[in-house]
Amino acid sequence: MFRKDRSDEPIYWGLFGAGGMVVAIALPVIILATMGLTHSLTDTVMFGEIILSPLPSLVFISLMILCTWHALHRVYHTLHDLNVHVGTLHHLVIYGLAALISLAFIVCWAILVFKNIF
Amino acid sequence: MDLEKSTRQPYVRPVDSTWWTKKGFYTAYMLREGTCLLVLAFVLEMLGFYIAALTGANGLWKFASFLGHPVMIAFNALVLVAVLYHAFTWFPLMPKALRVIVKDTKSGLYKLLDGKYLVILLFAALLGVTVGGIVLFYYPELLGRLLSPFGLVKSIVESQDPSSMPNGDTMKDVSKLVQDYIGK
Amino acid sequence: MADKIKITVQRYRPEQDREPWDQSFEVEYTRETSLLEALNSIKDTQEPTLSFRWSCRMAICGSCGMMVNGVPKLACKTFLRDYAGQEMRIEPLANFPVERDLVVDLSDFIEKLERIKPYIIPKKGESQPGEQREYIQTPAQLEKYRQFSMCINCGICYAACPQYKLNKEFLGPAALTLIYRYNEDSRDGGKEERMKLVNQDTGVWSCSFVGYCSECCPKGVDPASAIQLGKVESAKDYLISMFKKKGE
Repeated sequence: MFRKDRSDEPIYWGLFGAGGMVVAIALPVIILATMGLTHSLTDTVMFGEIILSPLPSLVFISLMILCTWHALHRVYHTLHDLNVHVGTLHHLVIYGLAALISLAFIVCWAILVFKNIF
Repeated sequence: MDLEKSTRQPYVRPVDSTWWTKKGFYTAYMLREGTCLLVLAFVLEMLGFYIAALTGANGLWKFASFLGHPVMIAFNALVLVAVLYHAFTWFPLMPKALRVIVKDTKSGLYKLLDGKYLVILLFAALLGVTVGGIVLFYYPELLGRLLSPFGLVKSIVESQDPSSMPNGDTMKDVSKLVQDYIGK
Repeated sequence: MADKIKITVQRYRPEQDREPWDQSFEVEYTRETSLLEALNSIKDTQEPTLSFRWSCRMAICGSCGMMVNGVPKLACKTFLRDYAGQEMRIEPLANFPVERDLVVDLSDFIEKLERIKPYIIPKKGESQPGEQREYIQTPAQLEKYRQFSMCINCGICYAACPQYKLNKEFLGPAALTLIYRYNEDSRDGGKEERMKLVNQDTGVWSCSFVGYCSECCPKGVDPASAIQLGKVESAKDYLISMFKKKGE
């Protein structure tokens, strides 16, 4: 990490690109779905059936994790655009946060699946 | 006059952090980058949904009614606008990173996959996904059968005593609705 | 009958001035008058000390880049008729140190151009030193880089680039475009060498795809595209290096 001869950006750029596609294609539908939650709590169960069942939710959290990396990659570069000198600390904090959010999703998913099976 | 002596004194113009407010093109770019904050907020909402689900049916209801608050609806509508703006900027730029050379043409590198056509194509796909999503959303039996073999929500709801739900007539009615739905 | 337009030029004389200042001129123009001609007429008839660079008058030499109402343009390719009813404000090319009036110090850009080895490096073992022969290229092979070889090194993309503004270490649009141009040339064998520059933080990864360089390029080179393609190449290179390390 933080080598001078070769940037580690390809990793973050790849996640950013994949996340950008997710945000552009899948997120509008997902947002509409959550806005639909408002009409009745029956819808909540329907929504929950989708995002809280083991396999579909695995897809769902993958999409959310990609969105996270996409968003935080942009935060990192926008800080630089605002003339904040981004260094190792910013790098660790921002991508660390992305890793933390990803982990939180995975842990939630794992517990839900575990609860369901046992 | 000493001709050997240089009078060079290059003037370096200062860089300020408000450069992006000075030109429409830069401002549009900054708005594009700024959409990431709303995306992040939405991701955190969804994480909240999962954490709420962990606390059982009660938490799930509470969180759903939080998302149902008019302020949150308005906020999510704003997120939707930002995400659509992202999509509108994302697709026209994509052909620049994915190069398609049309055989035997000397000039039109991107003629076939021109940004505009790609936008139309992808938005058609987006529309398809949206319509499909809405259909599945209102006929969830289909999706439920296809995708949720374990019925996780059912088990969460069943593990809770309905009388422990938050008070209020609407809440009770909806709880009933939910129970009916799950009973099917 | 000729129309008139007000042109304000940012002046800077290093012997006398500590900071740039503005000087305005009234210029008569016809349909055909370019900004370069207008500046020349100002120099001839109104302000003989006004300094600016120019040579070919036909968008080939790349000498007369300057900011016109905040947009980097070639003066010879900018026509006063397009600014009818407005005022024009001319500044030296942004993001470069101002040497005098509209003359900027491009040496950072020139140094970067040299650094990327913008010439065909023969493939190893393909030809002997001093050997003269044809290197045949098909139209399809030419098409791979042709657009990116149209650069005239005017520096306008550097003036358009906020990332270069913020970090002068950034290799910049034109240099990265030329790297891509030579790397994609079927006769070239220097890709490995040049990728070392591309892969660094100051290479393609400093670019955040603002895209204004391509908007401003007077030759339609589309540097932003070349840089994104360079990112794809660099990402591939990154993956390959990961596997290579294990083998070594």
